[in-house]
Amino acid sequence: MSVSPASVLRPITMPRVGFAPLVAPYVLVAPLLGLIFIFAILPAALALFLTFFETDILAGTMRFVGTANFARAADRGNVLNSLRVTFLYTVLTVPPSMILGLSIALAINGLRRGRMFWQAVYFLPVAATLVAMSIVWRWMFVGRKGIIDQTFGQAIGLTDWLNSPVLSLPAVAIVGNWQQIGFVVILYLAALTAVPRHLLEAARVDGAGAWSRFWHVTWPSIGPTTVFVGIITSVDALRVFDTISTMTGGGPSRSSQTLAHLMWERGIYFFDIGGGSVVTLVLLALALAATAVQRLLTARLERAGTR
Amino acid sequence: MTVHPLATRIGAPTPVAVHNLAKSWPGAQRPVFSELDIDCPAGGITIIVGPSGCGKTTFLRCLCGLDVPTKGEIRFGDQDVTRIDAQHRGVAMVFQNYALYPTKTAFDNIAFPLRMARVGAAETADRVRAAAALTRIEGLLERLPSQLSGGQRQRVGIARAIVRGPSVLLMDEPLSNLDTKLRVEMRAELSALQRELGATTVYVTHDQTEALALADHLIVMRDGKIEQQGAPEEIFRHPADVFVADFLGSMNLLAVRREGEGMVLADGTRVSSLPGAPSSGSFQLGFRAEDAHIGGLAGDRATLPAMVRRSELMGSERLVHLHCGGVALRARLKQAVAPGEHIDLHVHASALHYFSDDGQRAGAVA
Repeated sequence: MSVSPASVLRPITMPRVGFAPLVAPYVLVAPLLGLIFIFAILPAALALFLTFFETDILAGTMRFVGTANFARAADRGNVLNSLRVTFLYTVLTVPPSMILGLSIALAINGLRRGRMFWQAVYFLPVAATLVAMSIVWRWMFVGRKGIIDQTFGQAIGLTDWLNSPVLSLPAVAIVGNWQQIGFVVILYLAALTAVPRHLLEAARVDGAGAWSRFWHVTWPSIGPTTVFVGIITSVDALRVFDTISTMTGGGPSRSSQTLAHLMWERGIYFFDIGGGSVVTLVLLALALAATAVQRLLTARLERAGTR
Repeated sequence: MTVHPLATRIGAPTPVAVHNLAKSWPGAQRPVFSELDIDCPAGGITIIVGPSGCGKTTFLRCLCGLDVPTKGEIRFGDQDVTRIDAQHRGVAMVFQNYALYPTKTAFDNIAFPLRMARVGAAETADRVRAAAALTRIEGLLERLPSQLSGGQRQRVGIARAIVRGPSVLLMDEPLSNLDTKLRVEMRAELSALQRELGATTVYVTHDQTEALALADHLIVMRDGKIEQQGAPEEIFRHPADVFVADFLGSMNLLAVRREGEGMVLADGTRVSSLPGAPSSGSFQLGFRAEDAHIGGLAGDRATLPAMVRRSELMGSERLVHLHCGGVALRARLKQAVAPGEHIDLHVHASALHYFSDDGQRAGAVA
């Protein structure tokens, strides 16, 4: 007599729930918590601590000075200047790289073939070593003999960018954009593949042209990515250092000295640990503010049902 | 129900005609569909029914302008619209998954086609209200799609489709995502709404009940070909082949061969012969579950000896699964029968269908 297949499927006993599942979450989270504490929370706390001291690294002494470091920073006006430069740099890099990045992503997304190639082309600068690339750019920006001055620098009448108090920051911003756009493109391309196709088609049937379809369907759908890209690029702009240090050294006359460069100059170059820590705190506050904005905007978008 | 002049402002209904239409994807082995010739009656509902992958949705997308057919032409009235993009074709479409704009309120969703057509604010408001009244969602206009139930979302989808007063209305399985009860309700409403609007409607579904219930003109498709088209009643009564017979109302089919005066099933079971049956050779005998009876049937009839395997109570009647000559049959019976019982099934001669071995209809029903 044949055995019914159902008899093979007799009930199995489920394994007993032991001690492990209760402990596992903590064990799994612990290493990361430890790393975050050592490399993020502890240094931040230390920076805050150091702002109240005058530290002499060579002598190995520390002296409590209260808020003297803050007062000094405010008096000298360097922090204020760097805040202004950093803000300007952010304006010069974040909107252009987002607009250009989205435009390029839309163009690549519309291609029938060669998508991988163009993605790779735009991603190359992201993968390149920034300091090495900055040296190449500095060479291109060199006054009179540089490629930039030889070509369109003459055409538009703007030359010797790196030695001009007005043009040095835009020069660095150009490199910043060049380097960042590929990253923005990749993020937007990922978001664009997630735009619901049936909504684009519904809009087409409803009589919407290419621009209306973008504005009413694509743009709301990539909203969370736009917020994310905005924050990532802003935080990157706040931290900009490699290109500044390599191309202009913050000059001429501090016209391109961002907060990160000032922090390095104070803390590392001048051994003024307390003064550098003050700048660090300013940077930390700005980064936290940017993150808070992101969380608020994302939460609002999620409530609106974009996702 | 009051008639809303704006939403129902349609001129003479437009007939939709398709001639020798074909669509193939580049590199594909065989076309999605080919040689389609369809005349959709102006102002009526044409339903295209068929199993998944028969090409019905692609056909609808061609009608809509979302896909371009490889060959043939599509005419709306006198106008050849084959090459006109969806954006300019002016048809309206109801989607299976509603396709509502998630960040817009119900009002803005419905108003969207008007906004694209640059209709003024006052008229937009009037039209949206009229469309909302017809689909009975007046109270929901301020809500976002995520705050609506499935049935409400589809009402918004339908309102958005009718708000322009389209002369051609396309529906791609509009009720498939709804639960059974809601589907039956919406089906009736949709039918009433369509009558009121008078838009020429092409409706795609895989649900045979929906097809029979709604169609003025019914088209059964399989593998990119039209199996049969015509009035739904006619198709149901005289299916052209075994596929249509099985797909619409899942007909019982038995292979039989002629033996002298009688008919014999595959395993040798004898069935009484009838006047309408083919006079020689082998063929297929078909009848619907609701046409089978136990006794009490006068006149010419076929008698099939069968064994009861299972009985499902459907309410006032039972769906009985039977075994007859090695073939599974279904019968809708009033009487209670027990599994294992042997019964004689009677089918009236007028309810018997005959198909040749290759599945084509052979001989008319008496």
